[in-house]
Amino acid sequence: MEALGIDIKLLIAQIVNFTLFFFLFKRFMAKPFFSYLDKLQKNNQEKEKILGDVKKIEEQAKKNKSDSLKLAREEANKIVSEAKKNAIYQHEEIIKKAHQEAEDIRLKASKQLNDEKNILYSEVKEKLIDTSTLIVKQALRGYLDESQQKELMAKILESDKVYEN
Amino acid sequence: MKINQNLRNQLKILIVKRIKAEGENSAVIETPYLLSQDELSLFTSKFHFLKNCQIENIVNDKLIGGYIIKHGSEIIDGSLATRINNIIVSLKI
Repeated sequence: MEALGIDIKLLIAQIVNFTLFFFLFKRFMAKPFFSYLDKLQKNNQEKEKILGDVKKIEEQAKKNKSDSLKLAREEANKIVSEAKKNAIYQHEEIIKKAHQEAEDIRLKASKQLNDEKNILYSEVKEKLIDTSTLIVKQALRGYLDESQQKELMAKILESDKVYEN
Repeated sequence: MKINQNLRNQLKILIVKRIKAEGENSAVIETPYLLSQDELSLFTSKFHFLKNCQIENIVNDKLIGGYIIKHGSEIIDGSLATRINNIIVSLKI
């Protein structure tokens, strides 16, 4: 044994040391140590469970957020679409109204113009008739001498009916 | 003052009768020149009511031609001026 370099005394001493250490460890340290390890393990498990829950909540929140965003986007698109529709409708209505007003103004102006034209035409016609009449009357007065007057009188009397009463 | 309706009507009839009676015996003939006796005879032959009337001939050169007879409330207008005026009225309408 000595040729192999193993010291028996030292070996025995180490065995005794180890046994003693084992006995002391088992008697005083093993229980709190394993208890501590169990506690650590439980804590870890709890942490993992909480982390899992947190992850689930986070995922749910993300999903909710995504759904809310989607809903909000859809709602916004709908509002914008309706606003566009309303704007187009109102735009068309305004243009329609403006066209109508323009047409009314045009018709009114046309009617007014026509009325004024008719009034002017009537006035001119009346003046023309009056002037022509005056000319004819003056011309006849100047033209008809007494013999022609007599001739005219005879013709008028001839054409008139006979008054019995 | 309010006048009775019957009285008013009777007065009206009386006045009309008086006007007619006043005008029945006389007549006015307006012409653009003074009529000759032959022409006056022509008038009386054409308008029989003139036979029993005292005729007054008035010259009115506004008539241009023709005549106007005024007999009581009646007026017979055969003037050229009125005929021209009638044409003018029909043109103006």
